Amino acid sequence: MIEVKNISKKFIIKSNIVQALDNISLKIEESDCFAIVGESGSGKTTLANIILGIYNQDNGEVWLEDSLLSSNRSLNLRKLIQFVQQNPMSTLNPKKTIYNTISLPLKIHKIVSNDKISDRVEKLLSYVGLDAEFMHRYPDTLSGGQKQRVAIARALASEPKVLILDEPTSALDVIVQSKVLNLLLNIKNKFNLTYIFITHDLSVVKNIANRVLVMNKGKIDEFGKTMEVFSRPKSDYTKTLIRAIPTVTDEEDEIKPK
Amino acid sequence: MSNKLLKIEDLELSFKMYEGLSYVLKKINLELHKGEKVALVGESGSGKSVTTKLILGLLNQKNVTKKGKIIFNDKNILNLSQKEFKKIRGNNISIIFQDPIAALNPVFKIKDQFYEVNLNNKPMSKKESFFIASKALEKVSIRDPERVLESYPFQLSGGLAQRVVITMAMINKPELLLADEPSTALDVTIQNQALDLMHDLTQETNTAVLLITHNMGVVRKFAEKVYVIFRGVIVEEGTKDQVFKNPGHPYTKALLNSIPKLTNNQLPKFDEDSPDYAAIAKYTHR
Ligand SMILES: Nc1ncnc2c1ncn2[C@@H]1O[C@H](COP(=O)(O)OP(=O)(O)OP(=O)(O)O)[C@@H](O)[C@H]1O
Ligand SMILES: Nc1ncnc2c1ncn2[C@@H]1O[C@H](COP(=O)(O)OP(=O)(O)OP(=O)(O)O)[C@@H](O)[C@H]1O
Ligand SMILES: [Mg+2]
Ligand SMILES: [Mg+2]
Repeated sequence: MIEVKNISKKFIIKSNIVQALDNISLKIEESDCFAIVGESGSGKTTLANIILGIYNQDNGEVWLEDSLLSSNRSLNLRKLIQFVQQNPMSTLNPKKTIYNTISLPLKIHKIVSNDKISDRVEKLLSYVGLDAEFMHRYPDTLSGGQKQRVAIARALASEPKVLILDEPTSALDVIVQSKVLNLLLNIKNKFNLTYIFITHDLSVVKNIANRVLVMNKGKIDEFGKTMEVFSRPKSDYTKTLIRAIPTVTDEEDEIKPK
Repeated sequence: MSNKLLKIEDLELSFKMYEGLSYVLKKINLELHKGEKVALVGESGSGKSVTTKLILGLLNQKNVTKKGKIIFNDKNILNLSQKEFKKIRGNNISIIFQDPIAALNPVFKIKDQFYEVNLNNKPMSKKESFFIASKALEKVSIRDPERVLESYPFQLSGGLAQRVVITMAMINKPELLLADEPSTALDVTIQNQALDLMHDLTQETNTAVLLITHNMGVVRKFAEKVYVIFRGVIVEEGTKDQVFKNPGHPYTKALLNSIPKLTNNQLPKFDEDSPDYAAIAKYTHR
């Protein structure tokens, strides 16, 4: 579905060079729930930004099936890959009502006819457990988790094939999280979507992802089937990471690598 | 001198909205002693962040009605003037806001934002402030603090920005630290370090920490006392062991049952129609 070939990206801040991505290659298969985990600052969001065409890479290529993706891509290619960003509070436009935020992609990509927009917005909000009452509110009157859910609804609006979710449920309590994740998995199965799921919550990864990529300092540290990476981690960094997972039962601590 | 630092009494909050009055906090009671580590957990949208905003005097819009008391060091601060709040915010109480990127000023470099915070403590040169900030950032595993200090917020990863905000909130050693989802953008090893640093602060300077998080594993690791909030009502309070081992309120039980576990391969199923938890009496462990 998506193939990333030899991607590198650096940033320069006042004579300091940050090698955010260092020759990364990976393949994401259709209908994967592909998790990316790893060190904070290891390049996860940068990789998402390059796949989306928000940043240009220094080297390498990104392919979506047989289309080479660059940062100026057609509206149709844009529609196919959607993004739920890491900080929903700073990414929702404070001057727009929730209705305007979610209806925009519906209009741009002509998803439904004009008279059906309001119904669709309401439906998308219900997917993420928010009532229609939220349509007329502005972002700064919403809690952290409510904003996060609006961001998910906005990404689903354009009916993408690939959804990149960057910490999509970190602001949700575990009950709402379970609802939203179950719902995302249902939508995924129903429409045969592919998910790239970036998170620090390794317990969630264990429960939803089929494959997992561990990043460290701009490089791939370990990659494999979720079950295998968790039960037989190879690299020291991955082992350290799994050992550090905060758990709620003693049984969970027992299955961590020694 | 009493050991009590913060006592919230029958705190109520409502917003006047287009659709009518929206009651967000319904007689909240909560207590923190000096040096204590307390967690406030619960539903998304239940009123955790607005509680911290009230403690800091940040909710003053025309459509806000607040009642009750917030007693900090034996003084009710709920209706203090902005001038008095400003003094408290810089020195006695600090906060780690839920969204680190939004908490930082987008048009100033991190070093300048640190300078402002450091000046609250004592007069110093920019160079001295840079040095102090850089030492403090190293403690949260930032390998290249100079680069981070020379950056604008948008140039930082989520976790770097969060560590900047954590460091800023701790640098002046406040009496009370409000930590609203301080570790969601951190990988689990750095998360543990951040929790350790907050713990150290409670030991060294007797700082009390009110930790808000959805990560129950973090609560289990960090907190001594736990309050559970649902739709503006505290539904359960107890020590960490009481709440984790013997949850008394049906909402707390549902919450603990919904945690994704490392021992499972599938998300926990949830109840489609849950009862109105807010109507069920509060459970207090003795
Ligand atoms: N626009 C930018 N300008 C300068 N540096 C940047 C920019 N975007 C990212 N970086 C730097 O590149 C590195 C990788 O950042 P990235 O956001 O990809 O990390 P991440 O893996 O998503 O981390 P986190 O888990 O903390 O969100 C970081 O050091 C970050 O500060
Ligand atoms: N300025 C405001 N005007 C109107 N309603 C508001 C305002 N700020 C917050 N609210 C509402 O108050 C309730 C409590 O919000 P708060 O931000 O405290 O939730 P929270 O417990 O921190 O949730 P989360 O875990 O999702 O961050 C929410 O339903 C929110 O929509
Ligand atoms: Mg990131
Ligand atoms: Mg909040």
